Amino acid sequence: MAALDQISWVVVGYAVLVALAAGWSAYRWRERPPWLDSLAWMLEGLLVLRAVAGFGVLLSGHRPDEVSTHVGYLIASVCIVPLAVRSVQDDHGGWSLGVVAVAAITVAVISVRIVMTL
Amino acid sequence: MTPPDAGRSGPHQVLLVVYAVFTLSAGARSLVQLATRASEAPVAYTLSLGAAVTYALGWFGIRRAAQGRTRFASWMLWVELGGVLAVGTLSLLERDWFPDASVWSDYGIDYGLVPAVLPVAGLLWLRTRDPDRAGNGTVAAFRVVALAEAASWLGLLTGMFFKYVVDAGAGGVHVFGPLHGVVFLSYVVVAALTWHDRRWSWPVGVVALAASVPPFGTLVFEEWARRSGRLR
Repeated sequence: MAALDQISWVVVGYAVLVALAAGWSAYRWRERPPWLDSLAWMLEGLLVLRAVAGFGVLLSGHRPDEVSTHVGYLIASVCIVPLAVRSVQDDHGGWSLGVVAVAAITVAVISVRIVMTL
Repeated sequence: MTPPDAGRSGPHQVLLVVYAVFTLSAGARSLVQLATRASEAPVAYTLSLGAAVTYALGWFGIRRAAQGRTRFASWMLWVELGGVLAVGTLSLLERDWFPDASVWSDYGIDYGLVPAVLPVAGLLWLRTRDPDRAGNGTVAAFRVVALAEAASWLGLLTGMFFKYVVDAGAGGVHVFGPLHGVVFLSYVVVAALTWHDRRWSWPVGVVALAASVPPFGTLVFEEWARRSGRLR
């Protein structure tokens, strides 16, 4: 479990970093730089890793207190970033940064909840 | 001012994501709770499901509003604000009904108070949608406090409903009484400034100030002033 908690906390920290980078870009350029999408996709990579490890733990027999809630969080955590980034694919305006930031903060909150429900 | 392509890019994108996230989280949470342990806190879980439906309709309304049809969103956001205030106040007064929290318990404190801020943010955004609603700084400030005045009236009326009609205690009135007082005073100040700035006649200025007395009077006055060109 300790390793899983560690990945989750790394995800939280990295998601907050992505949200801050979005905020900085909004302040500095008022549009979305291409590297922010790369940051977001790297966050998605971490989330997939976290979800695969989480399902592995479930299959190996560990039962969290609330299985359905925990599985729900695992699935939701990998869906949010792709949906958000895809929805603003052709739009690099300032407000698209808000979309990325909201997605990153949501993922951070979900990661905290994943640790809490494990 | 709203750019020509406002239907695509703008603050509504952020609102839409937040509404989508809240629809999903409130919906999934309440459905799991109702399916696995409905008897523990039936009121709280049902109210959470109601919140999820409100968020789904709000998302739909904001999408429509971004294309120029604002009426449905306007209604839904007021319903949502009323819901947050009513459930939040109820949860403070009737602890027994909420052995487990609902999404709007304590005005959405579990969700960082975002549920209380979201409908207000949505309503403020809606006001920027109408091109003839744009104005100078004073007029914009007048619109914001006119809306805030009406919202604080809604909170105070909710508190009074629970105090006098349901006889559930005065908690809501204690929260919204002072808040309404502060917003009322800001409205009077900003209305006086707008009176001066827009060179309203004496009767119009007096009506503007008097509009703060009856509930939602400020919204009625604002709408009338807008239609008669007194906010340009």
